Amino acid sequence: MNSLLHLSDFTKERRIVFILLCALLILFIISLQSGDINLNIINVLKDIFNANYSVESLVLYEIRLPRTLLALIIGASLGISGAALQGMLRNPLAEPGVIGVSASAALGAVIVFYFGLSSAFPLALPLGGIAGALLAVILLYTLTGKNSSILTLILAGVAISSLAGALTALALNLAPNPYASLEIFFWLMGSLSDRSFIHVWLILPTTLLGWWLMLSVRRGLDALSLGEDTAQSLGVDIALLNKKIIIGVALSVGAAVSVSGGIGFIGLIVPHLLRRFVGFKPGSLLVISGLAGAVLLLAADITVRLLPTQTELKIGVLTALIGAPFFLHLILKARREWAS
Amino acid sequence: MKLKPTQLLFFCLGTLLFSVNTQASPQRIVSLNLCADQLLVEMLPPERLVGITNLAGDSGISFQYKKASQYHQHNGRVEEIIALKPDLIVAGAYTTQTTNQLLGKLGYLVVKIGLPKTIAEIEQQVIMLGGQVGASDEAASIVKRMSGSLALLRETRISGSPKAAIYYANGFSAGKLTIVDEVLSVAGFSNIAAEQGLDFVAPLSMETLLKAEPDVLILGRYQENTDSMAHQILKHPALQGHIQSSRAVTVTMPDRYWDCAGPSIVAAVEKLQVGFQKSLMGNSFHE
Repeated sequence: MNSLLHLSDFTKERRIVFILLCALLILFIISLQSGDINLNIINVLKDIFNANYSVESLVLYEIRLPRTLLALIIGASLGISGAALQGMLRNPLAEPGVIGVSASAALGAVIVFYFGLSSAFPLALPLGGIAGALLAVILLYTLTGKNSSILTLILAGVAISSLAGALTALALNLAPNPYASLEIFFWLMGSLSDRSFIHVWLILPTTLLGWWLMLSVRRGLDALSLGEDTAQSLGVDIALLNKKIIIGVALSVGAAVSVSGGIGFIGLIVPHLLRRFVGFKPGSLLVISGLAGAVLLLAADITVRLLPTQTELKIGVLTALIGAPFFLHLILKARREWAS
Repeated sequence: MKLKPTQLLFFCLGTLLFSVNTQASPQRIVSLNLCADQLLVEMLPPERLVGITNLAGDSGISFQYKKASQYHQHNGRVEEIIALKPDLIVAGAYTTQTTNQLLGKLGYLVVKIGLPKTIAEIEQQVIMLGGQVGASDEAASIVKRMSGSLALLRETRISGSPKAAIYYANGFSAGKLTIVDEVLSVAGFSNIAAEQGLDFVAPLSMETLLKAEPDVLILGRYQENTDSMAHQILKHPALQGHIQSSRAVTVTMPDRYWDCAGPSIVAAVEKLQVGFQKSLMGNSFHE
């Protein structure tokens, strides 16, 4: 990909979008092929078109397709949100998982789910997640303010994360279902196992709204990278920009976490790997971070399905194994920059 | 009851030992294990069984939940158990390990019961336990009743060995080396999980389950509170889709029938047979 660096920003951006779309298409097909039983996709598609409900068509349509779509949607949400938060806070370590937004969204979803609200009113599940996420982003924004140091942000994130995690554990212990207290791991690490189209439809509307809000401030984010004063003189309404990003992150991450649990590090890794391909413009970074987030999460999900473990590995375990060393690398880099 | 010669030898030796011991049979027995609770309430009166676990009163998991109300129920804390002044404690070999060790260290006599995987092992366990608590006659009559009912149920076996799978919360199923496998085969079903090579209770992926095209799905705890990720799987559209399109029948089986391998499995076999016949008739009404 180094050859890309010599091209103009615009061509580079177009090429990277093309590459990511190709990767997405290939992974999509692999994802429909991966599972516990072997399927011949062509035959299965014939079955579906002929309205012949074979077991294979059931597996493809009701198990693998919704799972694949969820990986795409949630991966994209995490990627866009990571890029947007980094742009808004002008801080390279901002990410929904690190700063506690995912943990708070999980808390909101847990309260709604285990105490029976979501079985009475299904949409309560994503709404619970969104409420949790919104609280966390607002709390974080007021705690750290803009242009805060990396350290303040991380500390605030640690505080919010551990509080939300503890309250989640408390809620699960108080829940009436005997399995609830065993499911803390799902909410902390995340999984896409055995989700269905019900979940896709539940999160799609709010997720799309969230994406639209974040993508609508692309230009504003580019201007903001030149500093707040310059951005204001270019006509950017900074208060409005912040509001849109905060609500956008809450809508998309909150909905995502409410059906998949908290999946960490996607929003951290993706913008960092891609930043140099878009000339360090935070606005352009949003779209390709969304695409790359989808690619990364789908690849991770295919991997956990193929690993020969007895119970499926939680997907967040895998993203953390890749993401945590990356996070340490970023901290070391930041420390070197402070020292010099 | 069929026993191998070696087993028979152990039996005789065991009963011989007990007959020596039971001159002073224990008078204050406390149980620390749900499965022991259910065996002991059938053998001993409340004066001699002075404590059972509070799990025994839970209708979801305890088959003897009604009878359990006549007995004192404890919360399993060591101090509470000592206060009951037991002269024999019955515990599970794999449950409340730390409590068992502590009580052993304090000088109490702790008897441990294992997990039977077959009907023969259940009968063996009942006889052994009966001997140890000084209720051999009661134990023998439990075994006799069990064998009698099972012989009757074998006559009403489901024909054609339909393919069955039990599906618990979290997508777990019971394969070979489980009492569930034995119950299924006595009732007349073939167990999909066992055929897929599953041993013990282990996860069976929904894809594998559907591929095996089950004729009957036995869903554990399906109608109770299902507000957990673990229970969501039982409502998955793929599973429901298969039930509708292939006319697979479902039988709901509360855990209390077979979570402990004991005399309650007789009722489990019966419930499976009756449930299957009923569902079949229900399906033909729809046609």
